[in-house]
Amino acid sequence: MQELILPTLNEYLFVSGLLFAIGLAGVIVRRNIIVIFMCLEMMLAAASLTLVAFSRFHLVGGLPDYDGQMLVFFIITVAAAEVAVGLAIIVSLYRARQTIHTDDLTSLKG
Amino acid sequence: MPSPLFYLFALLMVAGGLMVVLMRNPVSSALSMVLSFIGLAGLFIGLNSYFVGILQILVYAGAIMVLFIFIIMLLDVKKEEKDNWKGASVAAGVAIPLVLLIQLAGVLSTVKASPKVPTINFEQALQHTNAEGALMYKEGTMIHKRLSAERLSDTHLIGHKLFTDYNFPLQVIAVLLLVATVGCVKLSKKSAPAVAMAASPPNTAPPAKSEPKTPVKPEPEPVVVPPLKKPSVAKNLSEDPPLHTTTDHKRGLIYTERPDDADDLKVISGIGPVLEKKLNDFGIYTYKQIADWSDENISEFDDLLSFKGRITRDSWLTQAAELHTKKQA
Repeated sequence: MQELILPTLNEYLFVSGLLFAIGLAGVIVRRNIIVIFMCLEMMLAAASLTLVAFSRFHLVGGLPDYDGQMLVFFIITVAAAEVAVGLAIIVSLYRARQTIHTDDLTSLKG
Repeated sequence: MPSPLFYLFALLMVAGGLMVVLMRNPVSSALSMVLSFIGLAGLFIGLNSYFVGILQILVYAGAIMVLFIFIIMLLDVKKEEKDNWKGASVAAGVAIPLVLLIQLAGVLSTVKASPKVPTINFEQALQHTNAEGALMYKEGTMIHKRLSAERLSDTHLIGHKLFTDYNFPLQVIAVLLLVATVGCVKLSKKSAPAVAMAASPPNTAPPAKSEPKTPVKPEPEPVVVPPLKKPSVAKNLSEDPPLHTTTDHKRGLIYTERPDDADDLKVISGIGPVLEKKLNDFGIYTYKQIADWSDENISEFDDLLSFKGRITRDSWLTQAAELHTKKQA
């Protein structure tokens, strides 16, 4: 049986960049504030992938560099808190305006 | 032979991400996001980060996405209409990420030999010492046992790291979670005006809608006012028409010139400076005019200002009636 050629660091970085770009496109194109928020989460997750990839490709004492994974751990925690607060804001926004479309939420712009 | 699993999970992740952006229904977006995160978790596990991979599935695909779906259901979000995708924003949304990707590809292509996955060296890990020269993973511990058996127990290793080097950040993150919890409770609690707003539509909307179809002579509107307001208001609302006005069958009462007591319509949530200008052009200057609109007037102004149902959605009538009573008092 042939030996597997494992993906290199560049491939991981490119895939993560792709996910980030998709998330960015969603944030720019979409008008639904909840979907925009989901795309933001996707961009955050893409950043986590680069951190984990760097952690695996940089050995410290023969083991993956766990500092990178600690950062991912904290990112996930902060993201959870951020989602809870963000969704609470969206709910109160909806309560005040009965809409979650960014086109209708223009009171700052006038 | 290239590793098929990497490509499978990467494809899953990217396809899920694309579907989040392209699906019009927010629920489909949320479910595609779960798919995307499962692919991402697969990539994490392929990188020997089992703990982070499971965390990704538990926290993101589990908790966070359920929260999203919950909110979508709660808010009863409608499908986005096709015309909501504006040409300019689609162009920007394609061009900017594309530039980013090209830049990334350019940078990555300059790397001659992309780093290969290094093999984990268990021997070296067992000999690894900290700054003081003591062994990092002491004999007799679970980590030592697993490493001797050539197994990467990354949960133990992360726990070790978390409670030694990262002890302080862990405490800080605990405070952050507390702050977020308190913030959520505070945010989702209804503030006093919000309570009034939420309480008034059921009381006032039906009378406003069932107003006489012929709005020529304004009748007393007993219930437009929330219950807490004084009864004298009803009289105020039924005063004789002011000067310089005409009564249009379609548009209700309109001023032919700007009255002295013109109100600041921007106070009504949903009306900005642009809309106020438009309304003034149509001869709408006071809260009372808006409060007195009939169903027919509402649909007329909906057409004139070219939005679909925003007047009722933002409950202008209720707001205007409240503001009018406040002004009278």
